[in-house]
Amino acid sequence: MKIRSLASSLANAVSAQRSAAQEIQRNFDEIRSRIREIRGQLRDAHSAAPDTAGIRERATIVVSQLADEARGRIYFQHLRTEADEFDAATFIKSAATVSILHAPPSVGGGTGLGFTSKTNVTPLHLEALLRPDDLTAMLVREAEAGFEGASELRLSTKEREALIQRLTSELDELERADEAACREAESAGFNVERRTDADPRWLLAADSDLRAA
Amino acid sequence: MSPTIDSDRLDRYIAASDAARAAWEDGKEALKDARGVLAAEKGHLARLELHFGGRLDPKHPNVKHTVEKMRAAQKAVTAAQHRVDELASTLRRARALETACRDFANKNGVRNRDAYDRPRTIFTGSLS
Repeated sequence: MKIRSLASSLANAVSAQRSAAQEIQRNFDEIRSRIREIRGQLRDAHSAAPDTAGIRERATIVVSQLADEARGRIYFQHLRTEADEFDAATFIKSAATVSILHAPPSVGGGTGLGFTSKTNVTPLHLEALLRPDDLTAMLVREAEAGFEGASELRLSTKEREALIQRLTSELDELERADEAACREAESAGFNVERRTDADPRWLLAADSDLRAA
Repeated sequence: MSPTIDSDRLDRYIAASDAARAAWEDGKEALKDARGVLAAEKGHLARLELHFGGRLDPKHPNVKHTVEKMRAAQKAVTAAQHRVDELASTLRRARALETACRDFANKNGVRNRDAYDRPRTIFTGSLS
């Protein structure tokens, strides 16, 4: 009778342990599936397209960089006397007769467009230098047209930063929870496999830090 | 908050990786042995066929025992191969964890206790 009771008790304990193992696995699956989800959202946030203001901001930066490069690579001359300064309007008006110079023109040498040696100057450089607003507007228009109808996530710079911060923080908490659960399960005698892409910060964290966080 | 690195944990991941590698190497040896047994049984059967001048009925009393041993050896090879595949998978996981933890710890100025004081064989072979 006693043996039967022991056997029954043992069977109940084994069954309870099996249920507990299944419950643990379910919890791990849930945490890990959420980790995958958050990582996907983070990737999307990093690659999200900017909103119109963001596009304008970036376009302005690009155009300004091009203009800066152009300033370093191009020299314009519309010199009749040494005191003459470059005047874009006159330069453009006389563009039909402008000559391309491969060395800085001498003083009084007339109108000239020159390139510093061994550097490339593209039409975009000239456009950025002479008509930055037009080029910026064109870049914004083209970018907007490219994003039109696309289901891609669009975020302003602030929104993107806030979203990335929120997701990173949630991911960190999930990573901590995953490792804490692994250690709890191990200490209770369950065999748990860690994810190979688990965050080493938490894999190596001292127990006290893992609990305190 | 950045948690404190527990170097004991790093040692554990390294030890687990070493153990996984040793187990995988043992598994490969066992597979080699099993293949050796299978080759011997096949050779024995081939010699019998040569002796009796042609293909033999596997149920023939002179052959039955050898055929049974050959089938058992084939099963052992399959099981050993399966085991090696499992051990290789365990080793890959253990090595991935070890590498991630070691890199992170080193970047943060923590060294495991013994890894730099003893020669370590750098594994570069295939896990297949």
